[in-house]
Amino acid sequence: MSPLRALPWLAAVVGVLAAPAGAVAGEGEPARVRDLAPTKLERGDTLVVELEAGAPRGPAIIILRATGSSKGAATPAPLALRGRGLGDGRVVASIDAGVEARLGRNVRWRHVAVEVALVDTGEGDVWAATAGHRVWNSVPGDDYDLEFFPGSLRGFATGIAERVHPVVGGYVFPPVFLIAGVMIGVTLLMLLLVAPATGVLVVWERKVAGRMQSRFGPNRVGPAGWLQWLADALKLIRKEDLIPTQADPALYRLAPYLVWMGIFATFVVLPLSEFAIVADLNVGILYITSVTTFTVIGIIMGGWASNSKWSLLGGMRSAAQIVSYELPASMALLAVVVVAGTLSPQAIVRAQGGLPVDWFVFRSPFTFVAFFIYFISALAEGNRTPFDLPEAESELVAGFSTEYSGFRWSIFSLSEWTNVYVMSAIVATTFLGGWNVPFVSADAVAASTLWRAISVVVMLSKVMTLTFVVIWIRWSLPRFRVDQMMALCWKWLLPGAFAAFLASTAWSWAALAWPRADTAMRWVMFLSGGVGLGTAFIFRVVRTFRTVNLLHMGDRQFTLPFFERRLEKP
Amino acid sequence: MSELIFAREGQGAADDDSEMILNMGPQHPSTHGVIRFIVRTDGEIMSSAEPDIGYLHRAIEHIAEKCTYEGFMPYTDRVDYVCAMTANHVWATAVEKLGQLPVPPRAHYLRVISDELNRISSHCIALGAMAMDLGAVTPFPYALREREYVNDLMEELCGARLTYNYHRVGGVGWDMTDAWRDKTLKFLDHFEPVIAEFDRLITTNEIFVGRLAGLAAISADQAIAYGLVGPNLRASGVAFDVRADLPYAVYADILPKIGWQTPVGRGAMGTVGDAWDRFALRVEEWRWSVRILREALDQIQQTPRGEFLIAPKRLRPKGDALARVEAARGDMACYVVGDGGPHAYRARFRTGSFNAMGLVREKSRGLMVADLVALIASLDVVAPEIDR
Repeated sequence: MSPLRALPWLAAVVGVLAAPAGAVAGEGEPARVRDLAPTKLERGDTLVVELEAGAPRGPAIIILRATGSSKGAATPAPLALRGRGLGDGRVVASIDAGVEARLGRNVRWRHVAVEVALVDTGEGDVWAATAGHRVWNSVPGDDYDLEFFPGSLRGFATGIAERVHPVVGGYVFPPVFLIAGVMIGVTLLMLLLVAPATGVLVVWERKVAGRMQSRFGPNRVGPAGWLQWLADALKLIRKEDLIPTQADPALYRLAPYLVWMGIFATFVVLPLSEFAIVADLNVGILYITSVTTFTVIGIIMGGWASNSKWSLLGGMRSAAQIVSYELPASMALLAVVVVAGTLSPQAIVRAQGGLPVDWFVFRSPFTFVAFFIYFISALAEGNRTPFDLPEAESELVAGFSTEYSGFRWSIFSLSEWTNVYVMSAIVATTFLGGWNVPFVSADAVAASTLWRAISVVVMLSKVMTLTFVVIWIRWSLPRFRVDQMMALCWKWLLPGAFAAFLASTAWSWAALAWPRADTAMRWVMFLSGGVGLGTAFIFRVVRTFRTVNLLHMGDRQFTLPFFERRLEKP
Repeated sequence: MSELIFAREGQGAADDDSEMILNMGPQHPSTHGVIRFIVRTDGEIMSSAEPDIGYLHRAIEHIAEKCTYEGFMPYTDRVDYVCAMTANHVWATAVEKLGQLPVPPRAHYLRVISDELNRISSHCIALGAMAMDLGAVTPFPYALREREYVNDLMEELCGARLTYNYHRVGGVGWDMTDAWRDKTLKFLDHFEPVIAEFDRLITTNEIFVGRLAGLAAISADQAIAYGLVGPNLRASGVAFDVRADLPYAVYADILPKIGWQTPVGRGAMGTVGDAWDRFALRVEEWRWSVRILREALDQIQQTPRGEFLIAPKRLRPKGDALARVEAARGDMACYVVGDGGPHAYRARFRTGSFNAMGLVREKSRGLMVADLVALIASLDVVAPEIDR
């Protein structure tokens, strides 16, 4: 903060600034300095501007304007710094957190124009605006890194922060708090959007299950039953909130929210499109694998705190299961990470393309294997059939959620259903091209509102397809036994995932050396793994269905679709 | 009863910390009725599962001593409400033997037809519920859908969908119509491919076979020693079926015509007499029931219409009689003693599930909790049949 803390580059800046500083220094009139040398501005750095006309002692504003493109800068917007005239013609300001929040960290400016406006203020005044730009009163110690928020969202949040600029009790809220507040608000908004989406997912699963099981599924509440989730949720919220007398009330209450948090926190880094992401963490994949571990804590906690043996067994099973399957799941994701060279979900999506041949699933046989390993492991982590042992209703009554009722149970249930979306979204992001639109580059998608909208649709359709597969599996397969589940994980999936990871690493190195081999491999995998297997699968389904058709719905009385067919009543 | 078991030595609540006593039932979703198991587990592995029965005891045999012979018929429905028709049949046959009463042949055919239809619907429950206990939900509605058709047919035949009260001492309650016969044949045409579909869906499913193959295998000697009957016995490789070996009603006319071979478990996926064998055998019995039904529906055309009941005038039999019928859960026997009065002096029902429950304790040793459910389901125990 102190001008005495001059850094090595300071002299150079002063030197550059001093020469062309022919601008006016006066009340309300900015002093203009041209062409700041390429400079790296970091927090704590001091900027000294020397003005020809001299500047009085007292508060001053320095406004930076980036005139060229600057690597890493989100928006080349004017930026105001609170400075102080030293009385000898120089004005000093330091880069603080508020500036960083606006520009991003480690900004290297190509061309920066500096304007200086001197204002007559005293100690304790609120700095509201100068030269048409609002400034804010930043306090030292605002150590918030917000650079991982996407530009559009950050700009949105900063805009709100600038416009609102609340003053409470004479204290001006620092912009980082405002931005953080806006971020939390946006996240909550996303959760509010997710809850109905999960509800629709529930209805969809029940409808698919109904069709698979020769029945209708929900079709009463709302148009064709699509509001059933609302009725269910309202019913559950109105239920009595029971806590067993022997339960541990605090942990019993806490457990569902840990599960909920573990699932919902992943939404922060799941890109729905180029712009629709809360935070593009550069450790996004690591974040996902870490934060979902909260669910196992919640499940064990709920199972133990219920003080029911069935719940305890369910909790134990889930501990064994989720912890085990995290390994192959993470390892399978690593196979993609080494190909993409990044842990950031957005970067992983950008490393793929819109067409299946550019997806990571067809990048090599190893990512192809990793795709299936991850999908299976994700099923297991989400307690979905055939791995629904923690809540095996026929063995453990309802597993860890046996004693839960009403709202808390619905939180468990909401988390489980949301997890289906989450796991599908992770698979779609990492293996299936994410929001990439076919035949359109990622940059073109980012540039156009229409393509952005289409990219959301593309991503959602991939997620929904995967969700359908999850539902399909759930209503087709029986459940593994505990030892079989463990054997599958440790004997097959984990070694397989490890081999896929190593091989994928080797192949991605080889692909760098021989790009044509890479292209050839993609096409081979796409044609054999995608087209070949897909065709064989569809052919098999169609053939089976035709058999059922001919034998079941022959000519006589069973003419209705087979899920509605009944014997004729006399 | 439960206090007694808990107080028994070695069964008390955890003398040491290595085991946990888990009370499974009577309100557990997969105990197939109100049965209770006292399970001692170390984590997932059980050291024993002690069945505790009697929750559904309704003193059926005692009621038989208080009712007239004909008046007891509705109670037999409650002996095994999943397969009520064979309980009807065994009581009617026992009383007819006791009173040496004539039965018209058409009634015999109707009894066979209704028995076999009921066997199909009973196996629907058994197989569907077993798949459900192993976590596969979809086979259950599939099986229940087929059972609905059977229930519709039964409703049309005798007015009831579950407790039929169809058989009578000396015949059956109502004759069938030609329309009903056509409808039944249509159902059979539809049902046969459904069996194949069911096999594709669950019987040959990789995970399902993995769960059941080699699980709780019962050797032939063991099955005989424990008095297992019906599909459980045959799954262990013992070719004994009351229908074929001690023919009653008109089975002697039907079975040779369809090339009957008593289906037995072959250990196709694991060991002979394992849980998968018991499952697959019931699927096989579906197929045989369909064949029996086709033949019976064919032969019944030669019997005179309308002659389906010779109601006894005054039933005061003396002496004793034993009737055995192949029910869905195996050899169901009824021993009845008459003392010349209007009601039985003593009636005794011997049912398959009761004996099967006796095997649970031994077979559950060392299994996992999930396998106990599979074991119970594979034995196809039905609570009212155990307790009566």
